[in-house]
Amino acid sequence: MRIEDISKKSDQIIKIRQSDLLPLPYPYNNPEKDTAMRELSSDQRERYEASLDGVIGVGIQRPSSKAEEELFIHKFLSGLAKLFEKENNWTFLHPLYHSLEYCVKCQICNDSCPAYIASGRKEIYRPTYRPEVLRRIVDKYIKKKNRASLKLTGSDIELNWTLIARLGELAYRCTLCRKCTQACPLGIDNGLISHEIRKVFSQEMGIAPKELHEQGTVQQLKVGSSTGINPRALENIIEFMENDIEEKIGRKIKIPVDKKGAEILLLHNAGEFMSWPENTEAFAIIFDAAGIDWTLSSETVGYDAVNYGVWYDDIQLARVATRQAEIARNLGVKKINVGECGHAHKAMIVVADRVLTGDLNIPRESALPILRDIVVGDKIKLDSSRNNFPITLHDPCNMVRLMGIVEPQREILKKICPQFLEMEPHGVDNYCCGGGSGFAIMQSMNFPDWRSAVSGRIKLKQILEVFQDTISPDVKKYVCAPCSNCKGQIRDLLNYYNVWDECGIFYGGLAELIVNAMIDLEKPFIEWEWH
Amino acid sequence: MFEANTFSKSDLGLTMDIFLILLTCFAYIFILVAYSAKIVKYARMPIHLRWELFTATKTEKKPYHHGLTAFEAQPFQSSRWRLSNVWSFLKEYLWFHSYLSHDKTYWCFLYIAHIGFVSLIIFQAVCIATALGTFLAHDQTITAERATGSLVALRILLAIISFAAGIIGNIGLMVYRISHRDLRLYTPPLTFIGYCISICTCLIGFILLLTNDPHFSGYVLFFVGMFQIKPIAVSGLLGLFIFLNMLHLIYLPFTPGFHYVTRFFAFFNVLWDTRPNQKGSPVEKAIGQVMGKKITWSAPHIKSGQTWEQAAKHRS
Repeated sequence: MRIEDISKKSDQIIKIRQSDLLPLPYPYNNPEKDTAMRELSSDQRERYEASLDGVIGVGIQRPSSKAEEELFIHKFLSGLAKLFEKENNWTFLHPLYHSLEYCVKCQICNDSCPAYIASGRKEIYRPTYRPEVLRRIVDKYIKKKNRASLKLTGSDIELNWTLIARLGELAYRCTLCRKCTQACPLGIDNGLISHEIRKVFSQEMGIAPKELHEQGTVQQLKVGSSTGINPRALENIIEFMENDIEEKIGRKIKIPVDKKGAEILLLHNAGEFMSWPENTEAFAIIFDAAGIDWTLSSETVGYDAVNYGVWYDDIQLARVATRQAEIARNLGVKKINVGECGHAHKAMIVVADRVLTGDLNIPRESALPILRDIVVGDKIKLDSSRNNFPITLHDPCNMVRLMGIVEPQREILKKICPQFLEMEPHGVDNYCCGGGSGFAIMQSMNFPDWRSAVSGRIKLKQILEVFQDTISPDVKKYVCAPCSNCKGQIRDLLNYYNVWDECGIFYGGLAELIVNAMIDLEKPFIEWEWH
Repeated sequence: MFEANTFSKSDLGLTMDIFLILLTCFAYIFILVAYSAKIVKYARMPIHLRWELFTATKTEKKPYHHGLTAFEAQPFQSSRWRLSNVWSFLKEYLWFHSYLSHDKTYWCFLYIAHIGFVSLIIFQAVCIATALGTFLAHDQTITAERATGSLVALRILLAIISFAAGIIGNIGLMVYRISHRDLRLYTPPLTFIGYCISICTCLIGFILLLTNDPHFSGYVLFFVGMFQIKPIAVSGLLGLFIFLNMLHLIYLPFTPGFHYVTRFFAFFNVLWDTRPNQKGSPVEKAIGQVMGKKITWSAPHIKSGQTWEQAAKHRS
């Protein structure tokens, strides 16, 4: 295919065939064990744009009239122009200009992209494809270059509804893991291009995946959490957690809530409360045992660390971060610590650093170094033999590649897990789990199939490879993913391929492993029950 | 002897010589203005959001930090980290480290082509410096002996390196880009035109060197004439060499070639911009300024006309 084919009407630009996908190791080297992606129904195809790759992530509805189609194009161009204005896009103007103007298309970044590699190198997933399409649109419709110049710079492209809708979907085929950016010797940020396209759709056209916007940031700001947990529900959850802890460790722990002047406001991804309460319970147990002065907040937004705005909308990002900081300020805590959630780490600690000023600029840090200090500093008694099973570590892109928090989790695992194995590559060179940038929570139509079969495939390959020596389901193995979204993606990935039954590979967080090693626990904290 | 001749040519020849001088002046002024404008554009970019702490990924030993804004200044602003960044930057600048690790054949041609390009610039600088020396000596009897008298060996060496490397590197890159689908698909016609200009310039330069003007004295004299605002006749071959050379200079600002400079901004001002937002710091002041800017985004959840600060505190 040619680059300009994106604007040509066709049933589908690419087809994802099982035979094209990256081969998996044993026992999935047998194609019969591989799972085929679900096809969209004809009704779904009629209602939504699906002609990119036969997958629907955003769900862009087809226009019902010519006027609607023209308005769609007009709004896209209007938003695109705003991307290059200091007032509207100071947030990323500099890297955007640099990335669009100075990429030499050497393709050195290609091997970094999990979706591109796993798909069998489908052109549309190439890290330079989206930027090239966007550059052509900008040259022709924003900079309005003349015809000769367009020909010389290879910028001739026809802008129509089909192209824009496909581009909108394509922006959600990149996990924003930024491994391509890391590879670029010129500092080009192709991940940023996906981010900026998403912004035009959200901030100008009002189009974003509902899991990120309506059920995400909007619900979080209104109700308190993107999970739908309101402050009252949180009270019940905390009560449940306290009872559960008592049942598991044989003593009651009072989880501090809204404690004024505490040292730490701990922000958990609220998804943990819903799906993996054992992680938030583990934090409570460890902090209690180590005598940490901490608190949770019951204020709206204050008990959910997530900030989906970081993936698609700068305004929503600023709103969530500002609210979280206001809550911390009102509580009078010394600092905010973010639990096991990668994107919340980056959003709150790094990105929000250029949003929060004055008394909202409260010190913010990761919870991992606190856990590391507790474990390595022997502040609680641990017995590594309790974790004597093969364990590997997944490095969440946001906290590892993009923040440099590489060692604390490793120091912990080396101390308490005698069979700890590194997957390759790891650390800052890791591959994304395939659920980054909101994919892990996007459940639209056949999108979950795509993120398991394509964007997460390379992670599955890494996991299977690291456990090849003990791949039998008789040996229980553990993938430690200290990030809520990564954990969700790994759960879905293992589920999709039935890896728990086939290979005995389980998943979970880091704090659970620490509690599992505590010597004063009568029974194991990790229950090895698939959920 | 290569005799300087200011009057012996026909009117057409004289017109061509004047044209070459004007083209040369235009090319140098054009590239200076175009690149200066780009530098100013990038230097004046507003403060941006930090999207990562990239320092960690480009250094050999990966540290961890607490992510505590107030403490970040210590490890990430230390001279050790700065040096580490400079070193990783130099590795890319000096021997294209990433290309070398990724694709040795591509690296080979790319590196040779860049050696050719840089040598050609130095070669021109040496020619201009020699001409300037001659011009400043106020000697009206310009001869090739005087013109070739200084830096001649260096000039010839640079000419040989730049022409040979320019031909090999650019032909190699052109063939490589054409023969590899993933490169061909993304290479615009302008890039191939650039390769062709470079190859032709270097080929003609070589022919000049071998047949017509082994010391490139004519080229030096051309610049002397330019400084004197008195065109000096040049041979047809040298005229073509000058024309192509200047065309190449004019072509450059239309290409991504200025990444030599913009990548400095991209790394040091964006990817490695670890300056924390500390109370009372210039960063905080700059953030205050941009948060006061009005937005005109028009999606339903955004109130157009609000400042960023107002929008951030808006709850609905």
